Amino acid sequence: MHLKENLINFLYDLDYFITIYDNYIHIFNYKELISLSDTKIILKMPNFTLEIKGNNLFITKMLKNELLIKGNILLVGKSNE
Amino acid sequence: MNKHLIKVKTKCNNYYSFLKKIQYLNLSIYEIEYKDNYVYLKINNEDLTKLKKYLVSYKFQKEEDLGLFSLKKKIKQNHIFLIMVILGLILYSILTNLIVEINVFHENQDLRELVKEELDSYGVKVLSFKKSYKQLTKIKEAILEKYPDKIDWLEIETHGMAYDVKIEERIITDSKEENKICDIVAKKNGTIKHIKLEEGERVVDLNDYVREGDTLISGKIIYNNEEKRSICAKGEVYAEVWYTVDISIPFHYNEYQETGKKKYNIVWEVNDNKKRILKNRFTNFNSKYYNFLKIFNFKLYLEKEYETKEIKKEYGADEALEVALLKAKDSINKKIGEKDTIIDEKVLKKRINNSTMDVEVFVIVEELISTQKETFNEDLSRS
Repeated sequence: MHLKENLINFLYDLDYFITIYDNYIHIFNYKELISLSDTKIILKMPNFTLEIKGNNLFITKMLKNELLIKGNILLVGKSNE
Repeated sequence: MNKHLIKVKTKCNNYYSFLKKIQYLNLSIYEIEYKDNYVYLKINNEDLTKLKKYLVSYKFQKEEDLGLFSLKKKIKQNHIFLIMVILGLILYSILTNLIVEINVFHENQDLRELVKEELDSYGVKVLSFKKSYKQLTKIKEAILEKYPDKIDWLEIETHGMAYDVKIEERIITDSKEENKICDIVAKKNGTIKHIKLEEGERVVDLNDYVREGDTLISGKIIYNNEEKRSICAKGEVYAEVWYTVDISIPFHYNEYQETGKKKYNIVWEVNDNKKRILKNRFTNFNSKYYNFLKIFNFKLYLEKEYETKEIKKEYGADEALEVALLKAKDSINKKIGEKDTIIDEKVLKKRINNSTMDVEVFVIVEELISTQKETFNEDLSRS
């Protein structure tokens, strides 16, 4: 059964991931952009809400399931609501 | 399939509200840039219509095509220039690989022609493509193998569009030459002044008068009135030889002097035939040529024409005599060899006519009169 799950995961790639770099944060498989400002960005993820706080936050790449945010990232938080 | 990406811009006062609006359109934005109240988006070309349709309050302008499409567009726009560049490169590569001149360096004309013919047979000819180093080495080896008795060494160097072929002739010393018996004989009448003896026996003395054909150095070595050995005599014998030269000098002559005026002309040359592009504007002039273009056998020169004027002059009797002597010496110098020297010249007769002076000059030359002459070997004839 693992084989089937792995295959589905490979083909549909539904897992999310968040990668934090020095001045970037890359989010894959997000659901929706809830709030956007230069100090705070809130994103709806599959099971939770992701909150990014920082200065000069700026979206440099926005695809259907992918976001690349540039800026001075201070805090990345998660809430289950 | 390649995506047709484009860069669009729109004026936007609030970047964040613009992005909130745009996220519901479900677009792929590959790059976002916000600068001077303008948002620059890198999107798919198909998404532009969507943007224009749903975000009516924004005016979207297409900035440029990106990726392969921009390249295709640029190629379409500059296709004539690109074709010219490609043709130029092709022409350049053809010209740099073409041979327009083959120079074979050797004093022996027969050997030069032989090598040229051989090279021609291997495809090394004018207006053919250059051969690779390996091919040239093979050709060299083949020629050397074919003519081991004629060519000792051969080198083909490439200089621009020309091949310089350097050859060394193989000289095989003839063993028969060493067994040859010969004398040194006089080729002219004269009084012996100097003898350089290398091999053989001297049969004349200094200040002896000899006639043409007389033996000067013998190849027969005689000891106690007995012929011991026969060799090929070697040496040089110089003798005083007399010449008389008749010269006629006109008293009136023309001299050309430059006036200081000069004009320029363009001259083209094909196969050593020069032709001027502009007409000559001076009747008498001297020319100097400066080559500035050479394509195969075609040459272009800048010609500087210096105007000259004719000045009529007249010799005095003494001057005419001096000129006559100089001309007599010149004419003798043309006749004699490099090793020969004029010792003295004297005026034998002088006759002044109305417009000319006729002079007979006697010239004394120390001249190499010896030459090698093979003699008949009696022993061999008997056997």
